Amino acid sequence: MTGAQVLVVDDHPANAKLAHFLLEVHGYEVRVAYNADEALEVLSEWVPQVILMDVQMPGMDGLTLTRLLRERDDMDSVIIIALTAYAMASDRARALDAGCDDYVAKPFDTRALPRLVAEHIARGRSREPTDAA
Amino acid sequence: MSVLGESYIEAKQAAFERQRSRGDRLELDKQRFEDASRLKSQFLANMSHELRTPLNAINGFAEILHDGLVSPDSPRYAEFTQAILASGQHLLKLINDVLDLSKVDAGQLDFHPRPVRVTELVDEVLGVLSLWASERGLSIATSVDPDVDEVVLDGSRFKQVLYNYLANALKFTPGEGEILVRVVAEGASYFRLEVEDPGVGIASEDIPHLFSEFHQLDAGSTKRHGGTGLGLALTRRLVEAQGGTVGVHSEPGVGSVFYAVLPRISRIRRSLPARRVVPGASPSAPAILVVEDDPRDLDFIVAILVGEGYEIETASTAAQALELARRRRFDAVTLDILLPDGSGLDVLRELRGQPHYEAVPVIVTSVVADDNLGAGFAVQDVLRKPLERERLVEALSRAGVTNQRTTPNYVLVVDDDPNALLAMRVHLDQVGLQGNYHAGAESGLVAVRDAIPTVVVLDLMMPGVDGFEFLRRFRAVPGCESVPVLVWTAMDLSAEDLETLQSNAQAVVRKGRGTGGEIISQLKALWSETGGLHR
Repeated sequence: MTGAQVLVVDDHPANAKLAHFLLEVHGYEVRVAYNADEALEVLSEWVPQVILMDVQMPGMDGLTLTRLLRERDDMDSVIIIALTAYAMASDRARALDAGCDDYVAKPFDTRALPRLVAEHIARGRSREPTDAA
Repeated sequence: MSVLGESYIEAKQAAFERQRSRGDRLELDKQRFEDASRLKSQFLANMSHELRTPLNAINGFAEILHDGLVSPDSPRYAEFTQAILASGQHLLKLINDVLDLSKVDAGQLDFHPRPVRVTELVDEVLGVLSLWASERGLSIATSVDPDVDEVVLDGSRFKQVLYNYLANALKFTPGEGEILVRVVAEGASYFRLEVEDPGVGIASEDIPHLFSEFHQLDAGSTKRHGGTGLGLALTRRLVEAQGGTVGVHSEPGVGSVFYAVLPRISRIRRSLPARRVVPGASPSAPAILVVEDDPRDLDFIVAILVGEGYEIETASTAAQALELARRRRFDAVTLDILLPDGSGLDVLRELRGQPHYEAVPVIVTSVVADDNLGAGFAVQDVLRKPLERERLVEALSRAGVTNQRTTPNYVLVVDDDPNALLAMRVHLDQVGLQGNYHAGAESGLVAVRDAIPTVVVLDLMMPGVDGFEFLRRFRAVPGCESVPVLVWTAMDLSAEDLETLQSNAQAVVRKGRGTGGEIISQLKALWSETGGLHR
């Protein structure tokens, strides 16, 4: 049991529920936001280790939200993993460009995702070279 | 500068202009091609996204249940299986919409225009959606201008359009309120369907994309509202394929009015069924002209009439019907009122103007039940579609156009040569006559005691009981005294033989190559001559 915190940002109720349940079963403390505004509200009082970030959402999309978060100092250590049904080759590059640390295409593997999250937490967020300089 | 020089320069300039405009054209073509291929990859990317989203829920929850992460007793188990089912349903709807979309694009979507009542179609759609509406605290009011209540279009496609508009209105009206379905005239030859909602409305910059695939006001609305993102795109194509237009007036925060303008009489040309000619069960069966352009109705009518033994010819246009009627006299006509090239009433008027068609029974078939449909011309009956077998048969029987058969009609064929029997079977099948085939006189004589044949085809040279002996005994069977007998033989007949046959047989045909046609025409002649059917 890790007890680490994860924020799931996804506007699709069934998929949000899936990620929520899966990570909870693996011992995480999970909160869900159904859009960018809700995510910002949660993040104002609660900073998780990991954010699972859907990309296509009503209002502000997940990549714009990621860029916004990456400008904040208090989000420096937060690992953001894009979890999206956009699965073209260019979509991974676009997610990493926006500041995501990893990218997982939907449908995702329910056995692999918790492992991936655990690995990222164990490794910690590697700082960008520019940040280190 | 010389005249020649001037014209040379002019020619050069003209060539340059031509080249430049060709260059512009090429540039334009290239631009169009790039636009088209960009739209195509955009469509594929969106499609992939829309398929993966429900699949994520399906696969994910299935894995969780499979891996035993939830006990079957827990409420979560039911909740997760429900999520799998709902996502599967959504996926199926998405696939169906995409298939419909591609069919419209390829011009493969079938439209079956028929006279319909708009009020009835609207009621059917409301029946499907009213529960959903009341659950959301919304009511649906309707108003249909009586002038455009009766139109000719594909009813199921119209319902699809109305359903999409109404489902949209329900999804995008958050609070309580009333949605209005309005149908009004639009000029003399069009009508307008409107669905008005007091919903969230649409910003003007979003309107141009609204009827394109996967372009909602905001991309996420698809997921939130459970639509496929294809409904409006499909609606636009369905309407445009029928010669109509779609559009929307909207004000954010106030509501939207989605509309479709459609022709009152659909001009869609559908492929017409091929003409059919079916011989009667007997040469004297009444001949019926079936005028019907709808393939399903045509198949139905033909099957009934063939089963009853009538001779059938079919026509699917008014012109075809009149052409056939001119060529021969039919004993009765079934007439569809709505034909692709005009009204069945025009056919009726023309027919009644011809001396030999003044009194021929005409049975009108129509989706509209109106006894005055004959417009002053005598009609035997008006049958409402969908047709019923009994009513059609009764109508013909009331008109006196019947196959008055008390016993089955058949041709008795007696011949010891199996090849001759086979050849006769082929000939009779071709003209639709029922045959009863016997390789010997004895078995033939047994058969006639069960049912008296309508005509007999008889070979003379047979082992055992020969043709002459058969004839003698046959004529002694009660009821068989006057049944026409056609002798079919390869024998050289003596004067004495001929004399015997003269009194007992009606015709003699020599066997040999190419005599099949002669046998059949003799058979038909004998049959109608003696009125063999109506015994």
